[in-house]
Amino acid sequence: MSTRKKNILKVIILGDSGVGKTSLMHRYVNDKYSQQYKATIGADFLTKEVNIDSDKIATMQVWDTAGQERFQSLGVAFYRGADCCVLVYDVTNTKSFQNIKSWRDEFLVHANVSSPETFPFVLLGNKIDADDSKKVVSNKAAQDLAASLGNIPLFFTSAKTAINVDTAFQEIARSALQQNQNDADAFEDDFNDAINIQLDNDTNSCSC
Amino acid sequence: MGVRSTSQEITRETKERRSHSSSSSTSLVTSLMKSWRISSSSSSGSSSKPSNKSSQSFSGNPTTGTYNDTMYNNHSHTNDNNTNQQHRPSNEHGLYSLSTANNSDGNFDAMSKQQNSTNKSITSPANTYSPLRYSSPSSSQIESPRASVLRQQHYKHSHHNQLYYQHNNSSNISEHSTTHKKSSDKYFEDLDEDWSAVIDNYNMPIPMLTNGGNGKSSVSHNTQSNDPKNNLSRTSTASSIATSITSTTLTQGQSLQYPQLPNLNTMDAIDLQKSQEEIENEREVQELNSIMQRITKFDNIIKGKHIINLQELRQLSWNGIPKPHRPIVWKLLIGYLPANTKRQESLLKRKRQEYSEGLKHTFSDEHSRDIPTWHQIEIDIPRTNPHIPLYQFKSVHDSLQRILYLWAIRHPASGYVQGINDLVTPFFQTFLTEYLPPSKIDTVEVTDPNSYLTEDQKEHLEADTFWCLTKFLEQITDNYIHGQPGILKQVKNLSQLVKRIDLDLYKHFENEHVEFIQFAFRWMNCLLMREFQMDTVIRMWDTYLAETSPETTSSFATPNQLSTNNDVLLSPHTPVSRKPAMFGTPNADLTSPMSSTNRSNMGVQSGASPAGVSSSDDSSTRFSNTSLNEFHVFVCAAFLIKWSDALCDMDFQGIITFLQNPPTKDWTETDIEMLLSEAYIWQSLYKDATSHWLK
Repeated sequence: MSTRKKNILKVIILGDSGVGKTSLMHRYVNDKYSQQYKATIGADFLTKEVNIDSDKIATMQVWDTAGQERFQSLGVAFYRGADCCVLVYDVTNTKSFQNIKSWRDEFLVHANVSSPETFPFVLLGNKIDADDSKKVVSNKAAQDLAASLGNIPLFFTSAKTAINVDTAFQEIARSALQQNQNDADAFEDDFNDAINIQLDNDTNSCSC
Repeated sequence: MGVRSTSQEITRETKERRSHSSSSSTSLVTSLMKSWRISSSSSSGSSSKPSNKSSQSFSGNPTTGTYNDTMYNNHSHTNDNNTNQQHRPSNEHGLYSLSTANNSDGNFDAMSKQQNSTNKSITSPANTYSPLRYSSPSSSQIESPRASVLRQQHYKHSHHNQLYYQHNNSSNISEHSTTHKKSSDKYFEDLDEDWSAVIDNYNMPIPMLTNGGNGKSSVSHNTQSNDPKNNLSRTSTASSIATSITSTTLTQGQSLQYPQLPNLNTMDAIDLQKSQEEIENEREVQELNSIMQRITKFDNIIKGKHIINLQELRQLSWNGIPKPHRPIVWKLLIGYLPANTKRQESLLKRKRQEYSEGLKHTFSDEHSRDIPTWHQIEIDIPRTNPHIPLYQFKSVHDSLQRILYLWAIRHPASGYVQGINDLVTPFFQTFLTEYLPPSKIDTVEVTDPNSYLTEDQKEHLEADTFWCLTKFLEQITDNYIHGQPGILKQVKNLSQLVKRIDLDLYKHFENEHVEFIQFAFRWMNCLLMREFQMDTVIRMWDTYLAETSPETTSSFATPNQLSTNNDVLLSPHTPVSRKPAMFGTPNADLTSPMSSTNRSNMGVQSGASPAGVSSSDDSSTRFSNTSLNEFHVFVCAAFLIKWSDALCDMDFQGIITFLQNPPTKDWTETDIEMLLSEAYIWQSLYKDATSHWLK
């Protein structure tokens, strides 16, 4: 409030259709859950004021994208200028897990980020409230994937029961803010390489 | 004929006297349109604009007379035709002119609504005559601009008399008007022509002239009923508004080129001639009467005819289709049912049979199922219209799954794309009502179809829905094939259109880095279905189907053409190669072979149809020229510009948030009709120009 120029953090949520991107966004922003979301067309947009590490305030602009492959061609309109990309899969859907890597590549192709190696991604395994019998993606596989994608943070979440959603988005906000400042620094000083921020390697496993 | 020929009349008649340029008029039109926007946003209860702002823009706006000039000048290059030129006794002419002044002053419902919301003063029943007004259920006998233009020629005489009658009713002002005839005649004469061209005359019942009952009242009722002062608006009478208009003319008419909109300050005097109750009652009676009249008109066209006059049906349908007629009319308009009623039964039988066989073939082999497509549809169906109980029933899920999957398999070039699940539902829901008794049509959204459909009926319903969806999507296949070029083009066209119509808004978007695709993609992909409630969407589709039906071909279906349709099920086809014109973006469509096919078909139709229709070649060309995507862009433009003032005060975040969730929840059919009329006007103004700046 005091600073005139507020930080705006742009966050993109990607993942297969039906993994719960919209639900996650609404759970985080409005703390609500509904079974009645329509399939996202194009992208939905919500914002939330975030307080990062209890001293930095920023506005997070969340773009919740459509999951169907057909809509990928318009990604560029939404990806540009993103500070963090959230990759979501459904722990009850193997295919959605397998597609994570292609979602990431897709993003990097379209977003035109300055340094793809350090761009912050966060991986979310959603729907962990589901019966164990339905879960088909093991935590181990997820941790391996997160490691292979550059040790990106991994959270197991449930939009339905709100497990880990706030925690995950705190991390998302932190990553986005760092990325945002990196970009600003890089802009100010061309001689500096982009500072390579080591992200916290906190692959939170859920307690259940 | 129609608009164009009338414009020719005007141009001819006024050539020597008038020299104002249409280019300057265009900007005037823009500001006029903006004034509607203000009013409409206030009518939807979402506007927080200060009232003085609204009234300023109202009084400061150019007249609709100017607007008409522009509109017609735009078309004045068409063939000369003045066969409908009328001669009038001069004194009658003066009265007539006054009435047109009323029209232009009161003009659109939007304006009267604006008056309601800003000045809380009076509105004019003369608004009823606005040619661009939006017919509501209560005044649905008023035709669309287009339809009235087309009819105008046949009914001019009677129209004339009615207007004359109107002024006898309010004879106190008639005298005024003749006194000042000289000053007003000059431009009113032109207006006379302009308005007569678009006023729907033949069904202008006299009772409507004498009280405040007209379409807008339903809107004010819905949106402003918590404002007690607003009630005053319904107590206004013809004479009160006419008086104020006369006084406006007195003060301003002589010095200005065009008749002015009434200065709202002069309209404080309220002439209470009838008690509220009386007026309410009369209005209800009128509403009922007009609904009955409308139903009769549809009956007349559809029932007991060997060949249904599709053109007449289209004109009538533009303004909304009565619920009991909607299923059959939609099927006719979209070209599923042939106009030849003797062929209808056999066609339905064959098509339903084809669907049934298509299902059997597709579902016979479990292993050949396209899993990703099936899965995508499966997860989308529970998310389709989740707020409507109808779409929660298992039987409905199953039906939609079959329809969508079969469609996807048969159209591999596009396949199933999210949003098509939305587009199928208006058909499904509308065709369901066929199986309900008329008194229960309104319960369609809450009743399980299984409770009243037999298995056969269910399959017929599915087949009809499938074929109409197919026909519908044929027009816009480009929207759903890889890369969705149709949508990208529409979004681009929308931005170009807004740049032309509302540069302030366009620049504001630029400054805020708002890209059109960020909000308009969904508008195109789901045809604004996500922005409106289902009942208003269905009403909107009445007009869409009437305005843009691409194919009159199967309505004149020869066995050949039918067999072409058969192919659809027999072999999956790629519409890309078969129907290039169906990808018609505005320009492509103008030159596409398809539209010329349509044109000649329409020609055949008008030649074969009863006397009078043969003179409407121009308008039938217009019909065939309009593609669904094109008209939709104009609707989107009207929709966006409606919020322009509010949007211009917002930053990026505000704009996107607003447009993601526009305040349309309380929109009534009247609001939709207003939007469609605005779109129609923009289209009239810009359609021919688009080829210059739309690529």
